[in-house]
Amino acid sequence: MSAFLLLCAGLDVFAGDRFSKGKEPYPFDYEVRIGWGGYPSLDGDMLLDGTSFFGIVDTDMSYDGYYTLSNIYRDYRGRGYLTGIISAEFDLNFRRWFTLTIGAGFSGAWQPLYDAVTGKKTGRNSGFTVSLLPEARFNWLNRDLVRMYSAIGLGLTFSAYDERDYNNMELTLYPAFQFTPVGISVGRKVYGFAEVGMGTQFLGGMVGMGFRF
Amino acid sequence: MKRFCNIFAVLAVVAAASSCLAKKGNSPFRSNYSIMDYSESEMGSIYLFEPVMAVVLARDADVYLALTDEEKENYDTSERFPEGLRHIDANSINIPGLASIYSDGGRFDTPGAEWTVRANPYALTMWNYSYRGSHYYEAYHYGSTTYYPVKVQVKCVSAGKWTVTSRSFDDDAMAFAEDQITVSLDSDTGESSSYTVVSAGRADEDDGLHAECGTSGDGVRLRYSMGTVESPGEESAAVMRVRMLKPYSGKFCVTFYRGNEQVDHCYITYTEDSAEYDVSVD
Repeated sequence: MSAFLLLCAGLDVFAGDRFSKGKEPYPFDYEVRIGWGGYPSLDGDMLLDGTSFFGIVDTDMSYDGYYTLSNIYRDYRGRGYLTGIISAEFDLNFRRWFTLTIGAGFSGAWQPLYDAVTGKKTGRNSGFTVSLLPEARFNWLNRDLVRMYSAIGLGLTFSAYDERDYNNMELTLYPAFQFTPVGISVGRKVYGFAEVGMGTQFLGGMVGMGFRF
Repeated sequence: MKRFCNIFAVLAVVAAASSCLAKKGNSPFRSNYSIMDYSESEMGSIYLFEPVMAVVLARDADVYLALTDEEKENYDTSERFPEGLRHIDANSINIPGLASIYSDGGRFDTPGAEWTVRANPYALTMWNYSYRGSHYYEAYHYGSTTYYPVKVQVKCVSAGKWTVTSRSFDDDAMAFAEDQITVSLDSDTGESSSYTVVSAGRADEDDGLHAECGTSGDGVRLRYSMGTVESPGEESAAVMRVRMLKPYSGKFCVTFYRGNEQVDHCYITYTEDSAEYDVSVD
């Protein structure tokens, strides 16, 4: 706890140094934002078997010759659904050009199950991922109403998926990585943002809203 | 300002278009192929092919073990044992990569004799050579790799007739009633031998799933011979001597149950030219 408070104090000192170069400071120290993005490729791959990280390639898990009655008469999986990544961030504006973000993301997934003989729905597999992703954001365009930026982050993701057809609860912890080549925010105190990105959180884009103070 | 709004709009469209794509559903594992495959490869192995191969290999070993020491030294093993032959002890031999045969010290065709065959299950491979218009079961030499063996115990009921008393593979051990699986020798020309299998059995699994199987009528007839196949190679085809087992007559039936309800069936009718499958799933 004391180490965490020391870290916050140190960051605050660093944030206060934003006047040192004599340039006009960024008028807002902090931001909070929420966003929704996709396609969460890795979540799809980890939770819904058969998708590929770099694409929406469907593979059909058909009978592979493993000779048991349980395999033949196992419930089969229907269409897989993802919520997309829902993220919340707290941002610290150290410089006009540099922002440190601390983000948390959530993604849900589910697949209905169907009886192998009757085809009737029997239940569903479901699960989620949560990730903690600090990012360094570099703001290369700062206008009164518009900012454009790039960002890179490294963190951790935890996933839990209940595979009812296999009586298995899959729990996994793995690194999270995200790179945003370009993003834009439009607004002053209240703003909208959109960005394209690639990484373990999502491959594609994210949109959302934020508030600066 | 307008330019930035356009950029924002483009990025927003990219984000919205790329999220929440779903995965297509899977095909059910229950299919025409899986029912057929389980019936012949799983149930057929236990109740048709393994019993006959066990009798074939034991008869081959019996010929050799009955020789005197001097005759064994001068015996040409290439004809009956193209894979080679090694002694385990005075009453047992090993065919490298294929099987070990353990006698009880007596002759295999003596009523009451009980022999054990431990075979490499992956050496007994089902191939359907449709281009030849036939359907047969081959046993290959697979080298010295160790696999979990399948162990079959065979007891002589009367001259030319044997019954399988037990079978085990990995941790799964099965005991059979007298005459539950019988193999009868129909003919032996030296170049080939013919057998009739009469059998019935059942496989039980969790969740109330079970399958029942059996031969119908007079049983299933199979012909054993030693043949050759060409294995295509990069530079030249390799010719391999293989043990061939071909079902040519009779019917083998498998029915599938979930609880007390029959949900599927597979009826295999063997003829000289082919095997016909009547499967409940299209």
